[in-house]
Formats: sequence, structure tokens, C-alpha cells
Amino acid sequence: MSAVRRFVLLGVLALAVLPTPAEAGRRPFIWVWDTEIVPKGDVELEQWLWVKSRAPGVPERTSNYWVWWGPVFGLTQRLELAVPFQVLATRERTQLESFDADLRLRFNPRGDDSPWQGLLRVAYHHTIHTTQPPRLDANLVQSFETEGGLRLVLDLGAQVGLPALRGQEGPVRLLGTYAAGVSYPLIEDELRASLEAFGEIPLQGIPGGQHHFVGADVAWTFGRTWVTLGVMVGLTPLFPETPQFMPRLIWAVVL
Amino acid sequence: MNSLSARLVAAFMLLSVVALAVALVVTQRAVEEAAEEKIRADLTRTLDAFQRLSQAAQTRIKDVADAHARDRTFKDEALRVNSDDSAAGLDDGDAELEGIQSAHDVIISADTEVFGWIDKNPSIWAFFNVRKRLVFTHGDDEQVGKTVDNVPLLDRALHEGFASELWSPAYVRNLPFTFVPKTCTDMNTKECMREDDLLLVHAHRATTSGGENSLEQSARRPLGVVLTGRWVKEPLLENSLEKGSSGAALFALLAKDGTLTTSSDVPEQVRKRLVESSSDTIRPLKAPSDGGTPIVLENDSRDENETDSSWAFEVLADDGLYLVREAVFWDVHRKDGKDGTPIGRVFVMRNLDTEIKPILTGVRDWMMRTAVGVVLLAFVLAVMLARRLSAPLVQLEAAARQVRLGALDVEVPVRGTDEVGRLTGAFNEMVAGLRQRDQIHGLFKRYLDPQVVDELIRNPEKAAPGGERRELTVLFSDLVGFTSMSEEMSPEALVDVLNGYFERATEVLGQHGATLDKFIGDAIMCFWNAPLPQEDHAARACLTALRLVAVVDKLAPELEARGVSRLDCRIGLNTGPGVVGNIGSRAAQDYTVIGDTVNLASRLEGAAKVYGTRILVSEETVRASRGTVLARELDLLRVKGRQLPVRVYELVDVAGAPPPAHLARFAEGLALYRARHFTEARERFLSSPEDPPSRVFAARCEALSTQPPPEDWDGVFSLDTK
Amino acid sequence: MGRGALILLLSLAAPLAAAQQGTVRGEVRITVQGPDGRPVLKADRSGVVVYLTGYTEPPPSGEVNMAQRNKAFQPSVVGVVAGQKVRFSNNDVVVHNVFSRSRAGKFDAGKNRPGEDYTETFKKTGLIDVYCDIHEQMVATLVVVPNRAFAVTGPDGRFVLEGVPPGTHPIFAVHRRDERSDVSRAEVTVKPGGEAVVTLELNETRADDKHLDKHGRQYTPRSDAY
Repeated sequence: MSAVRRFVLLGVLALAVLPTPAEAGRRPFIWVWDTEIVPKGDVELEQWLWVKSRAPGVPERTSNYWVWWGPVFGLTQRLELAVPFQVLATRERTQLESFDADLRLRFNPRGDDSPWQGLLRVAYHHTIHTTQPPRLDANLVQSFETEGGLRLVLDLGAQVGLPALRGQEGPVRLLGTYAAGVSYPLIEDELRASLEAFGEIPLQGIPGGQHHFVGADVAWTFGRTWVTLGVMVGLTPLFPETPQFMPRLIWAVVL
Repeated sequence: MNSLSARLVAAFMLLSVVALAVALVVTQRAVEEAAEEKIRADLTRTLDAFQRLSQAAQTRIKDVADAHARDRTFKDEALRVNSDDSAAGLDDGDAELEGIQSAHDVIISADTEVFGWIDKNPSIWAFFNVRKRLVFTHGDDEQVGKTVDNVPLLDRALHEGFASELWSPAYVRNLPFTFVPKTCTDMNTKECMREDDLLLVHAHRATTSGGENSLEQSARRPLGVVLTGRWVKEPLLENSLEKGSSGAALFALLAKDGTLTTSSDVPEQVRKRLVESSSDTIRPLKAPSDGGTPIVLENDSRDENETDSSWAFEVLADDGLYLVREAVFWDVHRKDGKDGTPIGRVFVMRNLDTEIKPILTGVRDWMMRTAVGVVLLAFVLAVMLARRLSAPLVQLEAAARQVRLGALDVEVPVRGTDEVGRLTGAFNEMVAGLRQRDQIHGLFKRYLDPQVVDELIRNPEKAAPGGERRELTVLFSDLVGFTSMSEEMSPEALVDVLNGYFERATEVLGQHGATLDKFIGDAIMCFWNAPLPQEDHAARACLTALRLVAVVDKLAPELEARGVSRLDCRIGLNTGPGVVGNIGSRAAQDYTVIGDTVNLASRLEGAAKVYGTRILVSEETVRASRGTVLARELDLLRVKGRQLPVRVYELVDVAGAPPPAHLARFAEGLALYRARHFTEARERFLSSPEDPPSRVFAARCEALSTQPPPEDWDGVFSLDTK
Repeated sequence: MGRGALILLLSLAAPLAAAQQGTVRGEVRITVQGPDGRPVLKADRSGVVVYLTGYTEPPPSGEVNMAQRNKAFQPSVVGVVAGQKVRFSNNDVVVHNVFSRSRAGKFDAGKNRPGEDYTETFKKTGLIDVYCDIHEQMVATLVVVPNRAFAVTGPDGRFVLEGVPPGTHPIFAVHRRDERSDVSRAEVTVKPGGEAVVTLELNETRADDKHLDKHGRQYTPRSDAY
């Protein structure tokens, strides 16, 4: 058989056959937060790349490219901490945007067999170079998994911008977010396909309108790595200021 | 066909043709038998070669399968098809099926060349996990997951590691899974069912750490069974291995359920017979004993054509006699020396008739040509030989003709010591004998004395030609009054009389050992002391003369009775030297004597008439006779042609006979005559008037007395007539 | 509440059921390759899980404890009913990371310090190999069976399965070492209230003593591994 086909086959088989880690498809969604956390004592390196493309309603706003990069530590059977930094790249400049501390708390310990699981996420977003104020995020996530592996996740969150934390002037900004997703395992422990919807509603102090997206993505686990790739499509006919596309790639490797 | 040459040639040709024909037939038979033997032996070799080939092919498949099983991709792939949970009965969600399904999908998507064991051709293969659930079969992309229970080959492979079987198309069709697609697609990307073929199926147990031959004997975990199938017809039966050697052997394979596949061109009768043969073959074959040495179980019907593992039989089909050799078709032998299991029967056959025919035809053509050539050569040789044989015979014939014509000096050269040579030699000897006989005949003719003849026969050199000078006594004899008689009588009577006289005369001559010179009409000339020496030759001659006269006297009354006037004879004898030998030309030769002595004898014979006596002999003769005869001196005579006078005598009688009275009176008268006392002499002579010489002398004396002779008269009477 | 009702129901049903249920008893014999190459009976026949399949029963409510002590799992062979919880407690002095990659129950307990534990529920029947991600030599087997009629043999190889509904059931004996099972299967017929006796033969081949860590890699030598 030709070398190319062999290589492809090898790749396919390797993907198909190499043993899977204990956690599989950890983040089935690109936007919706999920209730699974890293096992205690494990460290993952996550990297997100995403783009906020232009909105038809705000033609002068250019696309933004983001990189989120950081380790994720499993602290306890319930607690997970991520400490990433974020980089924003626009057409004019690329700059280190923020350092974050992202804490996720599961209500039930890992290994709990209940189909209902909940998670609370609290994150502090410390901006560095932008005019954006430091931010505090909070998300409440509830998931339900059926016997067949179908997963339904609802995620409600709020982002509070506190300029005072840096001694800046300005009002407190409040952004409400909601996200919901449905994920289905195509190949158990290996491939999941998902649909999600996400929306941001500025509540206070944030210019601009609401953004609402729907998207689809696919999450793939192989070996010590998992990848989730998807795209959110802005509902621009309804909300013209919503960026048209928001694709995101999440990639993580267990150390 | 009356020529010896022709007959010889014909006989030779007949012989050679017969011999050639016999040789042809014998050779043909021998060639036929040899070819048949060779074909039989070839069959055994072919069968062994086939077995080896099939073993090699199977071993190669097995090794390839092992190598593939060691292949990482397959190994990894196959890990999923077994589920220990399922083995333990705890697989409620059919996890095994999921693994099987995923492996199935991978195999399909990967394009089966990855797992194509054999060649670039699409292959027949299927893969099962350890619990005999179907993971993938090339015959049908859809089938997956089914547990296949009643295929004993799978169990054997799981147990032993490697197993093979021969499957017939019917069996393949009845399998609980689709091993071979039943219909051929147009693209023919897959092998499809073949009706007249058998499928050789190998089952390998695939394990994690490689195949059965992996070095890590311990850490082997069976993953499943891989089945590969190959149609046997093309690689095994039509293999060019056997096409190279002489003759095209045909093969057939018989599966255990009685399905047969054969090379092309095997007639139906043979096929039927092959199928029958294995079903009623009761031969139990090798049963390995514990020691590993095979034992052939005894079978009464075993013939010498059987080896330990194969046996032969014959099938008579429409197109000839097929020699068939049958053996068990084994799957691959295992490494520890144990035999594999029998999976069918293999037959190798050859059509004896079609194979022998070209050989025989070739041989026959060649032999025909050679025979024709040989026949031609034989003909030429025969002709030459016949000529050579009959040439001396022809020569002999010519020589014989010559001999018949009288040339007795013919000699045919003798060539060789064979019969013809001996015949030629015999001919030569015969001619020599004839010559000798001729000589002897001549001798017989001449030498009437049988003793002489014997002597000469015994010592033929004594009759050698060539002259020699000897002392001889010659006798001339003449019949008086014969000439006139010859005019009186008829020729037949004349000859009769003459022959009668000659008969007795020659008898006399023969008795006295005379050498007859010739008969001159009624005269006889003979001599003594040649060729054989006779001491008493003169005495013999005298006695002969006396007897001859007696013969004539005896004849006289007979002749008178016939009316023939009186017959008398005159004889003249002389002794003296003469040359005797074969005188004359070669064509007309005579053993005769010449010389003055002969002439004198002849004169004397003529002179006897003058004296009125019958026998006139010379003085030499009388002297030489040494008193064996009584002789009366008659006169001194000078004959014509001779200067010296000779004293002549008359033979009266043998010595001792009483002399007649007139002898003394004549002697007196003669003395008186010589003393020139002719008158007294005359008176004396007249006193014997019964004695013709006396009368003659009386007349002479009277004549001389009137006319006395000269003074130098020596008393010799000259006779001028012959 | 549900649990109480369940227990009540069961206790009510138990006398009725007990009158019909039978027992299976017997022993397990293991044949190994002796030093001279000839098969020989293994002396220590412990660690074989004997169970029946063909029917399911709800799991008991209690959880089973698989402790890590002295860098080993104790007990190293455990049978649980499908749906039962298992607690992996670190009773050792070092950190352990219990995991399994077996299909029937994948889990990763994370690094647990001494005194910490992790509970996992095993809903699917199957064979689960439990290892420690830090200590390669720690090996345990968890057999999730569909019903409560199971037992783990002791050194004498004997077992008693109680509460067996009458009928014919397949009976399995699994002797699992690392990722290999020696499985013996038979059929046993139980009469109501009767006892069936069965002997199961296992043929033990040499152990496959290599396994990978929770990420599918080979173990790296660690200072505290031994």
C-alpha cells in the first residue's frame, strides 16, 4: 500500500486505538462552561484561540484575535484552578491583554454518579494593557447527562468590571451571559458533537448592544490531548452588532 | 528366379526385411514399455513435487500471515475486537460489538490492501475475534458481529494456531457468513465464486505479540482468527512447474466432501472415477507411532506401485488410458515434525496413450526411415555379396565349360577357405584329377598292362612328358590280306572283324606289358621298356610277336567261316636306342618313340614279306632276349635308308620248344649261301620246301648263281622298298 | 426514601424469594505450568471471582472499599454489583492515583494523599483493571457483575453463591491478572431451594505483567515508586 495511505491509516488507527485518558472530551463546548474538572493532582495546559469577527452593524470595529493560554490545576476532587494569560491581536497591535485566575468548583466530588452536576466558576481577569477594567466573572453551570451520554448544560454568568480595582475611574460594568449547550457523543470517549447558544446582554455601563450566537462544535480526545473546535455564528439579522463569526479552537494537553 | 545371384539377393533381402520387421516391432514394444515406465515414475516424482510445492505455498502463506500478524497496525487494530468483558459474560452493552464494529469500519476504510495477504489480486479473507464473532469479511462489507459457530476450522485454528482446509463451493455457499461473494461484480474488484474450483482456506490465530512464531512464547494473547482463501486451480493445478517437464500432467484435488477440481482437459469419466476412488478407498495411511516413524498399515491389495504415501491406479477413458497417482493432500506440516492433518486428496494423472503416441510415432518414423535406408543398404550389400559369392561359381562354370571343351589345364584361382573356395579347390582338384585321368586314360589307352597303369598312377611322374633316350624294343605288326578283305566285306562286318582281332591283339599286348603306340589302320605299333623300365623288354616283345601270330591263327577258321579269305600278319621287331616321349603339339600329343630303331623295325616288318616269314627280328632283339626265344638267322639285310646291314632272324618259337627240322637245314644252306656256294646252298634250301624262307633263299640262290655278285659281296641283301 | 422502600420490598420479598432460591457451591481449580513444563495444580486459589449471569439484581446500597495500603490494593480482587459504589481510600503513607482504563468503568481518582478517598460508581458490568498511576506494581481487579450471586474465592478455592433463583444460569469463574483473564464457563442448574455443586477449571498462563499509566504511557521510574 502506498506510503501516504499507510500514514493516514496509521494516524486514523492511532487516533482510534491509543488508550484514552481518564477524562475524555473535557470541554465539549467552545463557549459553554461544563461541569467536569481535571482530576486531582493533574495539570493540563490549555490554549484557546478565537476570533471575534466584524459585525455588519459596526463596520469600523475590526476583528479581534485572542489567545488564551494557561495551565489548569486539579486542586481537589472538587476544585480546579486555571491561571492563564490572554493576548489580544487586532489589526493595529498585538498585546498581552490580561492575566487571569480562574477557579472552578464542583458541587459534587469527582466520581459522583449523579446525572445532575453543578459547578460554580469564579474568575478574576486582570487586564494589563487595555483600557478595559479588571473583571470578575462568575458562572453557574448545571449539567445533566443521560445514560446514552447526551449532555445538556446550562450556564448563567455575570461579568463585573471593576475599574476601581486598578484605581481607575468609571462605573462598574455589568455583563450578563447565558449559554446553553447540547452535546452528543459520536464516538464514546473520543468524539462529541455539540450545539450551543450563547448570548451577552450588557446590563450596565457597557456600550453596545446584545450579542447572541448560536454555534456548533466538535470535541475530540486522543491520548493526553483533547481539542475542541467550533464556530459561533452571530445572529446578526436580529442583532446587527453581533460579530458575524466567532470560531474558537481549544486545545489542551495533560502534563 | 533361376540365377543364383538373384536368389541370393532375394533371400538376403527377405531375411533382412524379416529381421528389420521383427526389430521394429520389438523396438516399438520396448519403447512403449520404457515410456510407460518412465511416465509412471514421472508420476511419482510429479506427485512429490506437487506436494512439495503445495507445502511450500502453504508455508509461505503461513509465514506471510505471521509477518502480517506481527504488523503493528494490525495488532493495534485487532486489540479492540475482543472484549474480556464479553469473555467473562459481563458485557451487557455488547462492548465487543462496538469494538468489532469500529475495527470493521477501520478495515473497510483502510482499503483492504493493508491486509491483503497474498498478491496484488483482491483476496478472500475474513477476520474473527477469539469468540468467533465476525469482524470483517471481504466477501460482504456489511456483515459484522455474527457469531460463527459451526465452522470447525475456526476452532482448530484457535486451538492449534494454524489450520487449513479445502472447501468446496457448496460448502462455501453454506457458510453462515459470506466468505466469497456469490456474484461477480462488474468491476471484479473482489474474488467471486468459482464453480469448478476448490478453495484452500488457511486459518491463522493472530496474537498480540506477533504470530505463532513469535519469540516471546509467553506473552501471547490471541486476538482472533484470520481466514484467507485461495482458489487452488490456478496456482496449484495450472502451475507451470509441470509444464516444463515432459508431458503435461493433469492434477486434481478432492475435498473432503467429495467435490473435485481438476486441471482443464480432464475428461468426465476420469473425474467420476477419481471421486469414486477416494470414497471407497479403504487404505489407512501413515499412522505415526509414538516414536515418530510412520507405519504403513498392511493392506492386501497393495501392489508394488505404492509408495508409503501414494498409490496408483488406472482409468480407461474414451481418449486413452490415464495413469493416476493419488496421495493425501496435507496441510502444512508443523515444526515439531508431526504431520499436518489431511485436508483432501490430490491426484496427478497423465494420459498414457496421448503421451506415448507421439513418442511411438516419432520412433516409428525414425525407424521407418532408418529401415528404408537399411533395406537399401542391405540390397546393395546383398547384390555385392551375391555377386561376390557367385562370381567364383560363374568362373567355375566357365572353367567347367572349358573343361568340357577339353581344356584340362584350366585352374580357377581359389579365394578363401569357405565352401566356394573349397568348391573351387575341389574343382581344381577335379580338373587335375580329370587331367590325371585323362593322362591315365591315355595311359590306359597306351599301357595295357594293368600293372603298368597302376605303377604310373601311383607314380605319375614316370609318365612325365618330355623325351628321353632309352633302349627300346619296337614291334610293328600288320595284317596281310586285310586290304583286299576290306573290299569284299561290308563296312560293319569289316569293323567287326577288325575289332575282334584288335581285342585279342591288345589283350596279348597287355599281358606282355607292351606300350601301345598306335593303331595304324590294321597295323599295330608298340614298344617295350618305356615309360617303365622292363629288363626283359626284348623277350617280352618276342613273346608278344609269337602270341600275336597265334591270335591270327586262331582267328583264321572263324574268318573262313565268314567267307573271308585267309588272314595273315607280319611282325617286325627291333631293339635299339630311341627317343621316347610326348611328341607332337600340345593340342595333339602322343607318347611315342622316334629314332632309327623304329624305322628299322618298320622296315623289318615290311621285309618279312620278302622272306615269306611272319616275324622278322633284328639281331639286337635276339641278343637282348637272352635266349628266351628260338630264332633262326635269316639274312644280313640292308634296308632303305640305312647304311649298315642288320642281321635278321625269324622268331620260331619260345626257347625250349623242339625246333623244326628245317631249321638246321636252313642254317647249313645259309652258310653255304654266304660262302657264295649258291648251288649247294640252293640244294640245301630246296630240301625244305615247307619253309617259305627256304624257298625264297632257293630262288635267290638260283638268281645269284646265274648272276654272281661282285667280289666284295658281303652277303647282305639290300632291300630298297619299305 | 427510595432506598428505604427498596429495602422494605426486598425484605418482604426475601422470605418468599428465599423459599425458591437456591445455592451454588463448589470449588475452583487452577492449573499452571510447573517448573518442569508439566501442568500442576496451583496451591493458592484465591482471587477468583465466581458469578452467575443471565439475570440482574439491584445493587446493594453499601459501598465497597478498596484501600491502598503498603503500596498495594487491599483487597486486590473485588466483586461489585452493577450500580454499586466503590470507595478507593488511601490508607497508605504516600500519595496514590488510582485509575482504570477498562472499558467497563474508566475513572481517574486523581492524586489522593493519605487519608483521602475517591468514590466511583460502576454502572456497567465488566472487568475493570485498577492501577495506580504512581506505583506501577499496584494492581487490582474489580469485577462488576449483574447480580448479587457472586463470590471471591479464598486460598482453598471454595465458593458459595447464595440467593440464586432457580433455573439454569451460566456460571463464570474469572481469574484476572493485569489485563489477562483466565475465564472458565459452565452452566449450573439450580432447583428451588436446592444446592448445586460445580467445579470450575482454570488454566493459568503466565501473567502479562506490563500495563500503562493513566495516560497510556509507560511508567517512568519514580523515586517513591518502591
